[in-house]
Amino acid sequence: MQQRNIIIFTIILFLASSIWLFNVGNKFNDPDYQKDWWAVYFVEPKNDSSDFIIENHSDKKYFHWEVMINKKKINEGDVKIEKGASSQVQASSPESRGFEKITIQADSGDEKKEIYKNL
Amino acid sequence: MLDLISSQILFYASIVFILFLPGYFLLRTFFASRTRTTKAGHTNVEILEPLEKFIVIPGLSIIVLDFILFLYSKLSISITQTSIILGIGVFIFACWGIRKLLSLRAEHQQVQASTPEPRVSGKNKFSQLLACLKISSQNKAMTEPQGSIETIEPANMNNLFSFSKNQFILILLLLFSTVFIKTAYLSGTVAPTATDMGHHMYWAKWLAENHQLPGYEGMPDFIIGEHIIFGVLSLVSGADFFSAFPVIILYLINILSILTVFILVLRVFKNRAVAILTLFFLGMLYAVSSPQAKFVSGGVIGNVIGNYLMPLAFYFYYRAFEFLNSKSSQYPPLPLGEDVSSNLETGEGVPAPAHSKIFLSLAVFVTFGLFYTHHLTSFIFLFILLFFVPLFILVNLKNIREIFERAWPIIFSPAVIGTFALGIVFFFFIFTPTYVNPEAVDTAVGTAVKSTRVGLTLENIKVTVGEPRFVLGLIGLLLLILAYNKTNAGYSLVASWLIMLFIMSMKPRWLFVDIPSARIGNYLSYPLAILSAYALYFIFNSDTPKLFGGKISFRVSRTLFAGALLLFVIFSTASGLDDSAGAFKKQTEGAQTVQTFFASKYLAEKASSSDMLLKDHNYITADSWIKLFFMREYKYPLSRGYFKRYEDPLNPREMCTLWMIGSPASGNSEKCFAETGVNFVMVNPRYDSAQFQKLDNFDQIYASNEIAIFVRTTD
Repeated sequence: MQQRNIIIFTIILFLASSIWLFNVGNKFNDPDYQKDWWAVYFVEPKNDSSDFIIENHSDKKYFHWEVMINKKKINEGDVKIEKGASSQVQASSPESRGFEKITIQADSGDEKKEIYKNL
Repeated sequence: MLDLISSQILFYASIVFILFLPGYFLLRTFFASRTRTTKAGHTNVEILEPLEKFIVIPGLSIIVLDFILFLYSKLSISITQTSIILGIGVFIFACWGIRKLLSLRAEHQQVQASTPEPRVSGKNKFSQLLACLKISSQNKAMTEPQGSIETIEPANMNNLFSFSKNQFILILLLLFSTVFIKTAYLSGTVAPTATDMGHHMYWAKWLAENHQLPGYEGMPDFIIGEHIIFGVLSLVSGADFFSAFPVIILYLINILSILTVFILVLRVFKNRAVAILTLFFLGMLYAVSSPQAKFVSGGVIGNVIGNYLMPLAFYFYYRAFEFLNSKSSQYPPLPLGEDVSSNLETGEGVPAPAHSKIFLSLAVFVTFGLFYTHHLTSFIFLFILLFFVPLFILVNLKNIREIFERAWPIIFSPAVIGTFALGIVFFFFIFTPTYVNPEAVDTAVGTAVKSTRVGLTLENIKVTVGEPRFVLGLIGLLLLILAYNKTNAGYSLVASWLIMLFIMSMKPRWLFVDIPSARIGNYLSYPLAILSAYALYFIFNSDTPKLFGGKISFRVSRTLFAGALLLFVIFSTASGLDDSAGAFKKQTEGAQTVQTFFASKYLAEKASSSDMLLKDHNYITADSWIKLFFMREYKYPLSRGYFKRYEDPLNPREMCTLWMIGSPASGNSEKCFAETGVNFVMVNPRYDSAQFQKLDNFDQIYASNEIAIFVRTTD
């Protein structure tokens, strides 16, 4: 009887702790749970397309973006992105052809990120 | 929510199916309740107590599963969810069938056995040996059916597992404390960030995705037993490698390893208090430090499983030769069916030789499982065994002939020889571990040169195992030697365990061991915990064995005893818990890890098979897990390792990975980019962006707080 109780107690302890750890692990892997980050990246990394995505996992909602060719702004816009969502921006433009570098700047408040392609 | 619950149920059902059923049926085949003849009449005695079964079954299941998959590999059977379930099902059915056959045979034998077996006279040693062998072959321990073995379990055998109310509560409290501390620590580290875990999970995922056992690309660093359980559990339950499941499985094995030591100590010392104190020193105290919860969260899989299988093997070896723990002059005659209880020195816990054969077979089986799981632990196991055998012979030199005569029919029984032969056939002809090659042996054996391999100091060991355990453990060894029970193989085993690990970790040159000493030092906590428990009990209990046959004993007032005991426990607890508390300072890096994984997923979707990625190990969190998104080969992506590794004069290594990130525009780097074909570079923007942003032939295609990805464009 005692042994059975020790076994049952051990199993209960393991079940309780493992369910807890699964729960913690799931929250950890949740990109939005208690996390504050966002990213900007090209839709296609290897061709000349300038389309990009802003992916938001922060508490910020409003993002401003600018497209620059050889450091000269040719396009800009604002986009509202909820936490956990992303937004694709069509930035490819005929204007960019023949130029050396296209840069995408995205910012939200005091945080700015930049990606670029040398065309 | 429903998905989460169903996946959890499936996961736990898979654990039961994979980690419990095979071992349970294996044991049930040979260890059902048996009716035994005692002086008092007939009684049902479990050779393995329920608690023991619960603890040893997962270990046996892990090894059974390994062997099923080795067979699949040889027969080119694809490893899928269905084939795993079928394989285990067939194994269970085979066990059930064997059990049935044995029962039928037992009934048949009972009908025929109207005349008793002639007894061996024992007058002539040679004829006794022959008779023993004859009986041994007739006996066939492994096929012994229910009720057919007339052997005696000592009357107080069951009492070993009958705890007093206080002991019972203490066990539950210690289990609770152990699990609570470990869980609290793992809550902060359960995320898939550990480097070793990432490397190991690559191979487990490879197994699950490719439906075959990995060949490890010729690398001897990995051993199949480390990955089968994870690959199979993922296949059967669908568990995600990025979830907490790998840590939880290792955690379960870690708890089982502690419980294995608990039952081993209980059997060896036949003392519940020492076993409970071991639970205290190994479970609750230093519950976090290596090789406990830190190894679990760190994914040091081989060590964690090895620390379960090695004590498990010790346990079975001990049970196999437990019957030797009797006065040599009173060794019972060889044949089975003798009442040995009256001949016992201690009068406790002696299995009959027939069971010894089964125990020894299981010990051999577990030993092969260990060799299929972790080379370092196997290496240590061999050294301990090499110390144990001569030590046991030496201390029993007077009676060695009798001991051999008793052990001979056990060791050379068909069951043991058959298990050993099966293991050898599997090891060399069915599935040979990658480390079985001269190069790997060269790596582990030789004169150590590197500073990390020349041995630890006493101070190092004290820090590794904790001061109270270190001091008490050494006192325990001294007391064990002074109160040595020569015929109890467990005494020699525990002493060998500690002494050999001390030599291997402090003076590896004596044994030509060329392995990082700190890695060996981590194993010391197990025997030191046992001996700490032994010392504490010995010192503070007036009923302990008297030293030098009773010439020396501790006689101090009970008040002084109680006070000193309290001080010891407080000191040990404070030290042990403080060690754990220190580890909690580390916080998880959730956002960083998620960013690494998102960037990796992005790149894995966008990069073609001809693209080559180089990432940084120094500043990217959880970078070893990146390879799980690509699943191309183990060494993909290339990695810039720790800076110090490029400066190691004893182990010169390629410099390209260092140069390509550190100075991408240099001539060396240009050559390296051309040679390696690297065109994607993943770095932490806070440390390594500027050098790329200056260059025209690099585009930055991804930017987050923690990750920047650059693509090298052709000029």
